[in-house]
Amino acid sequence: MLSSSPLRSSMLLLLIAGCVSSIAMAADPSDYLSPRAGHPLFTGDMPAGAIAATRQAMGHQQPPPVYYQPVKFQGPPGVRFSLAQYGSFEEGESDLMAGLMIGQVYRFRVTGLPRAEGAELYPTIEMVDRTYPPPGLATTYPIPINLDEDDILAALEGRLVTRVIYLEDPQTAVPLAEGPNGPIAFDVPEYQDPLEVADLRGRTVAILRVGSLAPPRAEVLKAQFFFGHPSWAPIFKPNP
Amino acid sequence: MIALAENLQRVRMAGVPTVCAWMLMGLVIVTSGCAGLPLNGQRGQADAVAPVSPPVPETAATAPASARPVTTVAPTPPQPINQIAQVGFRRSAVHVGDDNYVTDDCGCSYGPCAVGDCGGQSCATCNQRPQGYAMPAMTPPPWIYDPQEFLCDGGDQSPDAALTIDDRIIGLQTEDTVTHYTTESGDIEFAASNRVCVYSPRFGNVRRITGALQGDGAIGVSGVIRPVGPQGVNYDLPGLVVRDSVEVDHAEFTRRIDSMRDRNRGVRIERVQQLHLASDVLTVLAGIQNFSISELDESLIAMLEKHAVAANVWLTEESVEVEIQDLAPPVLTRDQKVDALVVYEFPDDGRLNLIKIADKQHAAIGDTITFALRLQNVGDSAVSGVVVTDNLTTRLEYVADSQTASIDADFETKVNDASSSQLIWRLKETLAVGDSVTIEFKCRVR
Repeated sequence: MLSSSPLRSSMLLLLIAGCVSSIAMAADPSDYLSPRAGHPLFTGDMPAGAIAATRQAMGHQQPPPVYYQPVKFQGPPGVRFSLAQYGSFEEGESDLMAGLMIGQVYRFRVTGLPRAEGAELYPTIEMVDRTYPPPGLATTYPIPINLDEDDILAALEGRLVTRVIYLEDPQTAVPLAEGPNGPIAFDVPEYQDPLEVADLRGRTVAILRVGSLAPPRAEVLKAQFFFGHPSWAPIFKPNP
Repeated sequence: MIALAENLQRVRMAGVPTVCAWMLMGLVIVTSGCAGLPLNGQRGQADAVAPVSPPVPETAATAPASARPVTTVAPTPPQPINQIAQVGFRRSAVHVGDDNYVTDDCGCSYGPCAVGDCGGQSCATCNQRPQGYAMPAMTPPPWIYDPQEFLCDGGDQSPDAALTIDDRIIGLQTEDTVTHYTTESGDIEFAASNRVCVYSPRFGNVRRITGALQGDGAIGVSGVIRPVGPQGVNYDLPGLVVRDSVEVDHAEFTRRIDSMRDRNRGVRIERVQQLHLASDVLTVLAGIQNFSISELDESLIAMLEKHAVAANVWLTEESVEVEIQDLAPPVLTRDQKVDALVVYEFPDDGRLNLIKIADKQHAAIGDTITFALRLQNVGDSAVSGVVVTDNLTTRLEYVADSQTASIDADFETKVNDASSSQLIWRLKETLAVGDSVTIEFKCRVR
């Protein structure tokens, strides 16, 4: 009995040491997952901000740098854009440029709509990803955010327009010239996910949603309406 | 008493491994907890680059007014400036579209200006290093780029280009720029150019228009008929059951298997490589004759012996026999010298070098880029039958009649697979050693 007890204890120690070493050597299951797996289980139906926040949590932007991605708003003639500033909107510009933070959702106002005097739209732009231009070319090649008359008409009728803006892969680019008002939109039917289609064609950088939502009158609802008032940086045009 | 002592001893003997076992079990739990479970998403951030700048008060960085972000958050009360200021680090202020921008009014990276107070001093004054302390050089992080934002042309992507027997180039992808030529020895060789990339991002839009809920905050779709299965469900079929006409507000739908797949972009298989040349392998078999000797008679003994001797000769290493007759005895001559030295030159084949350059580093949509091809014979002999082929990519559109060549050449364009153009120059002359040709053409970015 006395001779078998040290043997048992040493065997037990060996077993535990083996377990410790095997567990320490074991790989994490997440090591085998691809870090760039697109948008798993996320669709374009999700509320504004979900995709951008998910991509940031997935490590696409880690650590999240304070980067203001230049964007350029374009629309039909006469349409003016203005970003929310201190909870209010300024007059607006026809070709507004601004630097928006990645991972944030911005509310902007569209006025001067064609054949709809006095009507206003308050779309959102969700910044999912950024571009990586050579130094000094960031404002020369902004992400175009454009609206055409179909978008405006559908939004005024109470429908929701979702535009997923993606960076096109030059190897699989469409041999079509770009329109005078920015990229031409590919329409997908209701049962298709625009985010999935955009992921197949390139890298999603922003999601534009145009609905018929109007700003709330209650002050307490404004933070929700403006998605927490994220900061943005204006881009001024050079003086001629 | 003795029995008690024995029991105590046994308890001690058994207690030591038990304590060790419990300690190791604790270690197992801690180790497995660290290795197996991500700690609230902090695992991936562990190796992230720590922020370079310490929390410096907001008043330290004085950015120009044009570069300040507009924020709608209520202004926070000014914080007192820390008395102990970190020497040598600056906080990078906001700058649109530039990762490595460090604002600094006087260009100082360390010293008293690190807290934002230059006090009218010049940079030379600011940048004086403290005695005995050398700040390590802060190298800017490498520029991250995305190849999808570049428009490239040139090179020869795999599979390599090859010429078929009917004078047709196979293995020519879009963006490829190659030349093939015939050397003096009759070989047809290929040479690829370098790859030229121009920053020209192009964006696309995928649009879906759906009905929206009326109300605040709700921007999801509702009441949308989604087809289930390949044929869909006909909702208008008459049934025996009286159905409620109230519209459903929540639609359960089954996603097809296609949407569950990994959404990584697939790699298209352009075509399957076939054999370049298939010779008639049955020709060898056609000459084989089958001899069989079923019976041996005496007339075959001679033939058998002859073949046996032949087999012996072939099997042994003595198959080659040399007979030397009338060989003169060797004469040793000690005053021999070299009468003449003849150098025979066997020149190598000609070799072409193809260089491609573009006149722009970045181009917006609609811009025109001028490409230049320089072809030079850097080999040792002349080459003939030189053909330069440029297979343009989708987003490059050849501007008609914009090509020039410094040598007489036949120019031809063809529509390629990428709905763009394939430009072909056939040089009419032979390129001697050192000769060079310059070809220029223009493309419009679309």
